[in-house]
Amino acid sequence: MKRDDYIPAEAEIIEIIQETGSNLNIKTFHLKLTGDKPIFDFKPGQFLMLTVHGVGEAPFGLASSPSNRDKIVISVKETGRVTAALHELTVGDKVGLRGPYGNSFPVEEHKSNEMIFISGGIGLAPLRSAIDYVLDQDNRKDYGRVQMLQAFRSPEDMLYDYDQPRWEDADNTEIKYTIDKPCEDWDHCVGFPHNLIKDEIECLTEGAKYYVCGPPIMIKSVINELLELGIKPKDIITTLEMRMSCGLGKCGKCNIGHRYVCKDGPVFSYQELLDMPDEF
Amino acid sequence: MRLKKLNSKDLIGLLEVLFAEYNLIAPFKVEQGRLNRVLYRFIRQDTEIPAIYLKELPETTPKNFILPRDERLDFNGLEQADRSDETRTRLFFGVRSCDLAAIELFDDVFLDEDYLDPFYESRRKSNIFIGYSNQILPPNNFQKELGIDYFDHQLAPAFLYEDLEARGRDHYYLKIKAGFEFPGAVENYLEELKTGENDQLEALLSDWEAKFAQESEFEIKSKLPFSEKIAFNQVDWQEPTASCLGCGVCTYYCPTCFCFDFFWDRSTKNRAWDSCMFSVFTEHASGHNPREEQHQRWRQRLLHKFSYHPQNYGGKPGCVGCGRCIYKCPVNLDIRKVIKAVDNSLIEGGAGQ
Amino acid sequence: MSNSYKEITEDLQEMIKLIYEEEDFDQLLAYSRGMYSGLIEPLIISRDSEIDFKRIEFTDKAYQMLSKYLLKNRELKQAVVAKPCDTRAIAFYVSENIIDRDNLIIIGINGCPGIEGNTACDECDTKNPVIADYYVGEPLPEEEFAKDKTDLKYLLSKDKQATRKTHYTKEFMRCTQCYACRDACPVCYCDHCFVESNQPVWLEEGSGPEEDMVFHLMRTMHMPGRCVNCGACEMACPEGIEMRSLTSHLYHQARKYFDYRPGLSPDQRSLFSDYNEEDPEPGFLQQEGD
Repeated sequence: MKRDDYIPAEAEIIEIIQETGSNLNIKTFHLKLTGDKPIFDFKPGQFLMLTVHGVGEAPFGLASSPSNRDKIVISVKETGRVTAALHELTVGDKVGLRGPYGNSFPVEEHKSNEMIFISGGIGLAPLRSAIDYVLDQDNRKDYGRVQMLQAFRSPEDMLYDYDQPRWEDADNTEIKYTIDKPCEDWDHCVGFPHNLIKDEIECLTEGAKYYVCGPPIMIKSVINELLELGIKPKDIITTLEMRMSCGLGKCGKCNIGHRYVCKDGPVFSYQELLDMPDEF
Repeated sequence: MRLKKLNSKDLIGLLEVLFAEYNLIAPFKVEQGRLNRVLYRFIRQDTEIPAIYLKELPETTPKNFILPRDERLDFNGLEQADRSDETRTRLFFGVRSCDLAAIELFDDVFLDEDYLDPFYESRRKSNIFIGYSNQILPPNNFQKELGIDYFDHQLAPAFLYEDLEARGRDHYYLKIKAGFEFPGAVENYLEELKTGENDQLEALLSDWEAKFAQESEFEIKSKLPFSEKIAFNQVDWQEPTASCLGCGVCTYYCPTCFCFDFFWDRSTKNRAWDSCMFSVFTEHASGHNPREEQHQRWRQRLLHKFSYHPQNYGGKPGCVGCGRCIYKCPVNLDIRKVIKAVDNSLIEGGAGQ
Repeated sequence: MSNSYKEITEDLQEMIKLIYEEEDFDQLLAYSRGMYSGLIEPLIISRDSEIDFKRIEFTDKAYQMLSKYLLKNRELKQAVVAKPCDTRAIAFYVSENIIDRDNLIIIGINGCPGIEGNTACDECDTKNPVIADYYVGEPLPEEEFAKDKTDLKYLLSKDKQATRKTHYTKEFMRCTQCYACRDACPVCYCDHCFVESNQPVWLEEGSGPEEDMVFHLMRTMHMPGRCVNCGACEMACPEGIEMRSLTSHLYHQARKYFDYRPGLSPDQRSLFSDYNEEDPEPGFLQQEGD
């Protein structure tokens, strides 16, 4: 019997990393639970509800792998009231934390397959949790080849540059980067991700799994492209975002049809999306 | 099962005895501003008892007490309430069966084993309901179409029936279910009352039911729950909902609506009613709104009640057919009109059979 | 003598039939009876849809402001049945340039017999339409209706401040912040209402006595020079709050101080956004020392 009283546990900000330049303000926060509550145990793909005291609460996807137990990582783009207030905080400030909520990426089910991660902008943040899980030294041997296509608006908007050396060096792993428009000193790809899949990603392996995340329009165009290339709907996994209040399937804000994005999601396979009304 | 017959004096005596044992909540007719309305009120003094007004459907429901409009989520207060044994049991007197079905719906949602809500639990814990029915069908009531019995509900250990045509004689029947016992003083009072004839009551109720059937022309022909994908895509939602103002009064008076939001008052977290009819209900911080237009929000409201909620809670409809949304609506938008549009669309498409 | 509801209903049915034959438009806004509830509701129907003219009715319960719905579909050509207060609102929209006069076919109701329970009808100063293309019913001569009512009870003008404060607090405490008053009001049409503002927050969420009073005071302060004294706010309120004690109060204040009533003609200038040199308070037009 799960009880939830919506009261957040206290957490402290232990590190803040400014990810992007001034045009898309994205910061990554490392949090640690204070008090004697147990370690925050979660699965890749889940999210937490973060409270900025006196201001409000918002859902954020967990961006770290659960195997890394001493911190909780979220990446936040400044968009509205809560995120703006969050961006004003500094290391040592206290926030409230509830969770983890939601379902998770089917990483256990997908063992022994090739994994392909396609992300757009801050969509890389929830995928990072799965990427780090798969690339973790204890888990790497359980999966096949890993390919990533990371799309950003411009080099200024790239995330996780401190992860890049580790990821590029990982076993049987390839990363392609792409930006929207050509730029000086950029010798990687240029163009929207759905246009690059055919040439940059090898999609021939049977049973390979495709994890897609980004703005709604990017998800839709990437999925269309994958379907055209013959990928089956059940092999395409995505994670959705919605406005949430309770985070546990009761307040009525985040439902798509009878499924709640906070409870039956946020991770959905395209097979499931086909069954759902188009309301997101 | 015990059946008692009462006259008006007996009823007042019963209420006085109940008032001594419980925190009594009953409906009253009050003048507020430009309206004369029937509302549930706490009874503070026994002198208020003769003014209890049962004849018409109250505008408010037990929802206002169990899931209040604004609620402080005070964890400390919760713990104290748990430990206090002095809290007297609340008795809601004169609750219609549709409203009881609504409480059952809330229990399904908030006392779910998947995330039980402790605030709801503490308010719901010591509550008793005494049901009520008479031979006037409340205006716009369509609970029969949703399978809700007019004259009984499992949440009420006792039910009061008033025969308005028999006033002056013993025109109340009080049915107390087998196995249920009131506190001693109440039982003693009940013992003094006349016993009623079950056959007479059954005959009366079946008369009333036949009369109700004649009054209502509304029928739902397709099987509930409505098919999610077909209803979502095939129905013309704009036409029947064009007059909706998006004010949310329907959701506030609805006994089964429970959507909520949190807000902060300094550092205290509070919960308040929210409404899917409001334009910014699902608006993201980015400005993207999956339900930008009013007809999309109406689609959500209707399908939530007649498709999504039944799918998630074992087929039980998310509406109890009480009719309040229709006459409280500032433009009298009839939910039955919208249900009919869905019903017709499903039948034409062959999906409803 | 104002017209009877039956006469107006019959006239309307004939008139609308005529308009269907003679005019080209996209949508009709009228009153009709709900098929299950039997209550009067707005009928919003596209011209191509089937219509049963016999369902069109006008009764003493037709309090909804059909003029408000005009704003939902401004690009369409719309035919609307308008009570005289509705025509005041429509004239106001035209004077504010938010709707094209050529897109409207207004069927004005002459000698409006009033709406039951609407206190605004008791002091109505506009019993005939101020703007219309077609008319039903006989116009009411001006001598027969109330024009100058400034000693109204709800204005509480004779009461002390403390009494007024107690009265207002008691009334508005019942508010559940449903915003039906705002949604029903024909002149409340801001694209981004202060209530929904998040950055900054003008109105705190929740329904305590403070927030309730703040909401109503802020909404009311937008009323002078806009409120047409139709009473829709009070009729819409599910709690029966005496709304007009604030909103219509400012209607009368605008009259008292500026001799201004909005919506009297489509060319009318607005109260606070227009200025000319004869204004009693020239404000920024005059330099210091002039």
